[in-house]
Amino acid sequence: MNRIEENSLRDFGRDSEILEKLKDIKLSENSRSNIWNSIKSEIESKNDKNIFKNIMMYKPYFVIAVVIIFSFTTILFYKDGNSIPKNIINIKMGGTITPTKDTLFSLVKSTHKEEYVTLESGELDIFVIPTKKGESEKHFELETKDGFVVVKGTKFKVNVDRDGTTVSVTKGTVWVTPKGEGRKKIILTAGNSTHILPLSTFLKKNKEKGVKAYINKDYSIAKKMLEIYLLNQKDDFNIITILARVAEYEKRYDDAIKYYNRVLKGGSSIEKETAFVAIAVLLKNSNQKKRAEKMFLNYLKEYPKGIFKDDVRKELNKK
Amino acid sequence: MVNSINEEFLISLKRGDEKSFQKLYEIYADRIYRFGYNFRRDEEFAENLVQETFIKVFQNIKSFKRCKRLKDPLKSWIYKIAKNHAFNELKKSKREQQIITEEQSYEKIPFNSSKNGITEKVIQKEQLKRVYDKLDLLSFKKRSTFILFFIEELTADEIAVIMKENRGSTLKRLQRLKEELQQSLSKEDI
Repeated sequence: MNRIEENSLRDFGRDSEILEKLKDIKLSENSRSNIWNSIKSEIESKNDKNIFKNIMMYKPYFVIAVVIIFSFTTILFYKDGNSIPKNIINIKMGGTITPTKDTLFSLVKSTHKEEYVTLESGELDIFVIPTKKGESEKHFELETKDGFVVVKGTKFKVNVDRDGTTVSVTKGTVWVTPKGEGRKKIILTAGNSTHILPLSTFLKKNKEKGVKAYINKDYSIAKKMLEIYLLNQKDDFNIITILARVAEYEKRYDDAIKYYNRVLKGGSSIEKETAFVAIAVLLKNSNQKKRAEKMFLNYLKEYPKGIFKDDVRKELNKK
Repeated sequence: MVNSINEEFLISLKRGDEKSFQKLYEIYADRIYRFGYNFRRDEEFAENLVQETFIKVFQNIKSFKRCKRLKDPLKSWIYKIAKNHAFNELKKSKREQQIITEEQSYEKIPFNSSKNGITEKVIQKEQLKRVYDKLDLLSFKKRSTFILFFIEELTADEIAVIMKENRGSTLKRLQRLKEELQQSLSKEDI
């Protein structure tokens, strides 16, 4: 088979309008930067490992340094009359934080009135002494990758792993705010616990439920789920199109037009084309015939070879 | 034939330079996404493919060797990584694939299906759907070859390297693909 035959195959592909359209598919800007950030963190973690390898080259010196620091710290604690510190950390506002093994956390801010803790992984047992009468209000806040936990005075436990954050309350009241737009705040009292999903899992589940509800024609559920999803993923034009269609089915034509206009501003070329025609049809159905006609004419100008061109022409000829 | 990869750029990639990787990502992210999306019409699958491909590119760039007969060997290498990852993902579980197929169904029909004339007719046409449905029936190898040649516009030489075969086999497959497409879809439809 020779080169000419490859060229003829190539021509077969290039002659096809539909195949040309398949070439228009692009990553949304939002996803592009999110994916890059994930890749970047991977690159950085590899670089960190390299740094560690370099450190290991100086292992003997490193061991000596650790022994010196450890001895120095031990002497200091004995001087103060204390034993070597246990796992329990006393906080200035009154109370304790007890990490379990392999817990990664930071005390970002620690004063008599405020305590701000970030917990990356593992588990913390927390006890905050309640504000006494006459004392100014205390504020204890703990942040995880999945949400925020705020207390005034209470005893509770927070556990973080890749599946989310679990908060269990032993005493008092805890306010839990998951990360992300449109997610509900949870108030937990003694004996109760909650699990916060990571934002990405929450959004994935919302999207799945919303799309399934849409397929099953349960439009109120679809609207509820997908609107929350869209608050966090503003450039998902597939979902915007679905919400536009839900609005159409529910006869909320103004809302449908608003959604389609969003698609016009940022969707892929095929999504834009569809939105263009959909708006024109909606205008026609809302008895705004002149605006609809103008929109149809603009469509033909904008997309002379568009996939709706014949139908639009027929629509205009009807008039 | 002049090699289109700049030697300095390749060295900086091998050194792990972040800016060079970002540049490479800017060049290929859309292409890999399109490759993945056309495979399954699943955004998540396509986005994941972009991420995993570039992580693998980063992890293995030091072992990348030029293929002298190709104009841009790095391009074929990146597509090869993407194709292998896509293959492994598709192989993982049939059950998983079924769930994803169910979720995809809305994306196959991106048009308005209200009772009004134009949009309904558009759905009836289902031009895109027919092409995609045809793609679904193809084996992994044929589907990859189809997307790489007709959509990604790689040459038969480049595809042959990706598929680990000779150019003749690639061209024969492409010829058969063309005939199958012509049989199942008339020229006007596609």
